[in-house]
Amino acid sequence: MSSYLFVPGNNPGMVQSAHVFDAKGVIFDLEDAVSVQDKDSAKDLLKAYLETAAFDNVYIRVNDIYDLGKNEIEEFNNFDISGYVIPKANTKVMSLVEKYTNKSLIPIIETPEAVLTMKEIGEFDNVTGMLLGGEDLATNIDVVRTLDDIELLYARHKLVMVCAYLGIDSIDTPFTDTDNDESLEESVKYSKMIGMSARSSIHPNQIPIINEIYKPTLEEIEFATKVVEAAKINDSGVFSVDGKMVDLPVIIRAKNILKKAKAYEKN
Amino acid sequence: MKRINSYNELFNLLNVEDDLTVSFHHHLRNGDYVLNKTMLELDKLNIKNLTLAASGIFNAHEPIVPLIEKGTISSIYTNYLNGPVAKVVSEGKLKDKLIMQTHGGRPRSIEEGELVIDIAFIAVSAVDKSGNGNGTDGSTVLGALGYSISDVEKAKQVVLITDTVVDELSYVEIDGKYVDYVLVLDEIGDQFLIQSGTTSITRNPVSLKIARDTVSVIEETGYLKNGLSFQTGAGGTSLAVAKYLKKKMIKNNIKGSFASGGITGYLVDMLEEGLFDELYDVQCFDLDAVRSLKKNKNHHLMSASEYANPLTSPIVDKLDIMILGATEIDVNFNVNVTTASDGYIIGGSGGHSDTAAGSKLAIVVTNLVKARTPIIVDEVLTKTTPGKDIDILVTEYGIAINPLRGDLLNKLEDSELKIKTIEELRSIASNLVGKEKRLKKSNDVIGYVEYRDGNIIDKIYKV
Repeated sequence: MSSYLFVPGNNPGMVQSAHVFDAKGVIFDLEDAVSVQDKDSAKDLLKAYLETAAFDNVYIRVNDIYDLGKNEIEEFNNFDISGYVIPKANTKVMSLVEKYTNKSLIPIIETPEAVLTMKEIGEFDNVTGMLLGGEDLATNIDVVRTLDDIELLYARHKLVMVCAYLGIDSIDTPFTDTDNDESLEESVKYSKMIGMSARSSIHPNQIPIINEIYKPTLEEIEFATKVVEAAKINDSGVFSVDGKMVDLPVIIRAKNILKKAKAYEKN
Repeated sequence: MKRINSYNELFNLLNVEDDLTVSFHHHLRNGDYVLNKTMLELDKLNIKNLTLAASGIFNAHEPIVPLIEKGTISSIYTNYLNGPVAKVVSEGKLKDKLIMQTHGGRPRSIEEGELVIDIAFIAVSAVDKSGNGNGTDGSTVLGALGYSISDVEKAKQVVLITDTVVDELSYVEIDGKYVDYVLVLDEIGDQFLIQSGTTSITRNPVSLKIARDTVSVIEETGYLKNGLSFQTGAGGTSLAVAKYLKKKMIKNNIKGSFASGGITGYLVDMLEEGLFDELYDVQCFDLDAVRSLKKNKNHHLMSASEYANPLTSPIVDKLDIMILGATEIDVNFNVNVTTASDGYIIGGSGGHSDTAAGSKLAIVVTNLVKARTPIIVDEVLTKTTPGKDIDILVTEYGIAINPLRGDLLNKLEDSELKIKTIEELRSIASNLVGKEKRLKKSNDVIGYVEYRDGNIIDKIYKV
């Protein structure tokens, strides 16, 4: 699966059903989705929930590390969660966070500074992926978000390159128009095409669409199978399958597709 | 056939007296004025011990509560009971018995002579001068009148009640040869309250997830094929199943044979888009269905007997796929849609057990937990539909196949769907919300659940 679902940490119904939508990861949100007066009750709700429910790939998006974030990390360190999603990440923030926890970290790239220092942010220990925060980034560069995210072009492509270089997940920004499935599909197809390893979402109804687009197609699986099989019996570095030239990068890609297909089967 | 303009005149002609059985249909649902008006007029005559045989009783029927409390109405036969009447009956205020029948069991019992109706009061939207009636001409349209047909054919006396008399009807659903009197009133109901549930597709993510998985399980068990027949209710997850089924039928270029039961505008759209050849309509759930019934020759009327009477060859026996709800389902797949967890009556079978028995694939769709209450229980409080007739349970946490359907289990052996045992699902719910506290039943029986064949399959206890 290649989707991360943000779930407001103060909504019991949504928290309870967060895991049923087949997202790769669930991010319980204590930050933007929770108003100031609900921050404490959201923490209480999540703690009560995490005490009884055991699921993989649970993250908590904490608040600003200079504000409530530090205490939140310390409070949840004893719970069986995968890690934290860190807002307003930069190198200073990450060096602080590193002191508070050993859990996996997903910094959000949502400021011009973070875009420019993406590699340094991603190089901190325990960073397993980076998530593009499109809304805040658009605000910070004083533009309005468009359906095709042309204004985020540089940041999106850079995120893909940096994450691929570091061997961590590149997680694209949520598509916030929750009633526009058609444009969501286009946007997710673009994420996949440019190499984003996952897409985040703020609405459960978007998850099956994201998963379906990221899932290797039958044609891709068939071709990849042929490539891998042919590679076993071909000693020469270059050969052809279905009239297409196959060399080492194509074989690696084929193996990755089969690995992904297997992961989807398991889910 | 005699035309009459007042209840006084009508009751003089009918010779009304104590101990009669009077019947009504529920096609006006919450917009019904006829049942209330008629019963209140009967009450004015100080008549006692009436048996009310109404195919459905709703919130709108609150005015008859005092008649139950003082014994004007002492017994009730119905297929569906909720609202204030359900409350007082649950609390033991009905003097004699409550029999909860099914949509197919009711016409069976009437036609077999088990339930003898003295006077059938039938609301129709219009009559002609020969006493024929239907539900779509006139000013207060109710749609198909399927639940009234056995009453009309078998009652000792039949009264049509309408607010519209025309020279000629666009079609005849109730044949004037059965009609003794026509009572013309100023109004019979509010047609905008006949709508059942919601007619817009839910955006609730859990409901949509259940609906998507339901269509996947239909596909993987081999029932998504040309000629499929399908029935679902209105609103919530049911309508969402229709939405995803439609999408899948279009994608796979599949054309169904028929959809049936209570008809919604959504099914009308599927008929008009060529996804089904025909609709069989026992009641219209919305005004789009009423409009289609009037104009589309492939949108057919059917009586409740043709729909679900087990002694005929009903439509439910030809159904491939049936989507059902559940208030509770137990580990033996028995379903309760009659009482809530506090013991109060909140519904009844309607066509639940008829369609479950008749269809090839009876699928219950429900959230695993509702309002912090697990839906899967060790034993249902009231058995509405026997577990042997339920094939699949779809929840947001996984899908359980009735072990009696080994064929389905085989087909789903390599499925990517989350197939679990019903006990596993029960355990997930317990982990989430703890084990529910079960109501301790009282010793006072206030009603009986009558299966479609006439056998009593459960009792209902006083709250």
